[in-house]
Amino acid sequence: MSKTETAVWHKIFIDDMQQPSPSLLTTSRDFILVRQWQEGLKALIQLTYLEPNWDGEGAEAPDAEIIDSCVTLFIKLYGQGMEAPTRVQPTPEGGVVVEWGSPNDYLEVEIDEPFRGEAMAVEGDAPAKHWPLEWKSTAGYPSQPRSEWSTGREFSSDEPTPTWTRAAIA
Amino acid sequence: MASQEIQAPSSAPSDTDPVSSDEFILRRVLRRWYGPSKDPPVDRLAFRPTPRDVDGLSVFRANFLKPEKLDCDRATGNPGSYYVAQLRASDILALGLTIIPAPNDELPGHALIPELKTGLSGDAKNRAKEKQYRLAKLASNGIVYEPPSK
Repeated sequence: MSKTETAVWHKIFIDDMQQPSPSLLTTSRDFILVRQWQEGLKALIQLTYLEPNWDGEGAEAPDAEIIDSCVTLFIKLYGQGMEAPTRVQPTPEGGVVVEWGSPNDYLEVEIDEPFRGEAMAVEGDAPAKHWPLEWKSTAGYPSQPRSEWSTGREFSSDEPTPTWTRAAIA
Repeated sequence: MASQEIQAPSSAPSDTDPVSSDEFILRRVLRRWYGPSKDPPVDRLAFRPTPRDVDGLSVFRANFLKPEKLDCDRATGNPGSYYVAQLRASDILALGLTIIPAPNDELPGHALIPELKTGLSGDAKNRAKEKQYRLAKLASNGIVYEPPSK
């Protein structure tokens, strides 16, 4: 998908979230969650404007397909009630790392190819847990009703999204 | 009577000497990888090897150069764009990593952490990622240089 198409997705998603349905945002926590996801999505979309050599050491520009697949991942995680990421970063090879950090816990997904990532969770001093993550395109977005975003396609992983991390970040 | 050469004292430190556990180690942190309000402030990616790190992650020994030198030398990339973090060598070693001297012509005190080289896969890559995160946590308490404001 081109940068222009990504920008269109961005506009639709951001605008949609800026005018949320009252029935969907029933508590202030919901409102905060939406705002945090907006920031995360903006950080992701800003990566599309990075040029090659953005680090001054020969890094590749972020891959547009990877960024688009991250948009899909964000939609799925948002639909599941997951907290928004605290960082969205490019990698020198054109990938993306999405992070959830707190003082004692850390979760990240490193995405080096579209719709596939490697997750790592660290809880305190305990050994880190690693698992592969795969998800599918949410074809039909945004015509698909919001309530079906997380149920219309399977979000698969060898392990479930770690609920302990959500609790730690919340 | 033959003239005698003046020799440097044998105790003069050299950046080819093994790294001692009581040394301090410096690592450049690209501006993008540092966010004081984040947890941790130094991102794991600051310790992620780039495609150029084929033999290990580049670090510098604080005994041989000042932190600001790491942000000023044009040969090392992007002047004015780097924070510099300082870590105790003993803390790095405690993570099961090693630090080997690797002098080069660009800057004195260059060394490598070979366990964090690029191109790892499987369990070795996973272990390296965890170490990178732990190093980032340590580095978050040791920022010793900030680049000029842009």
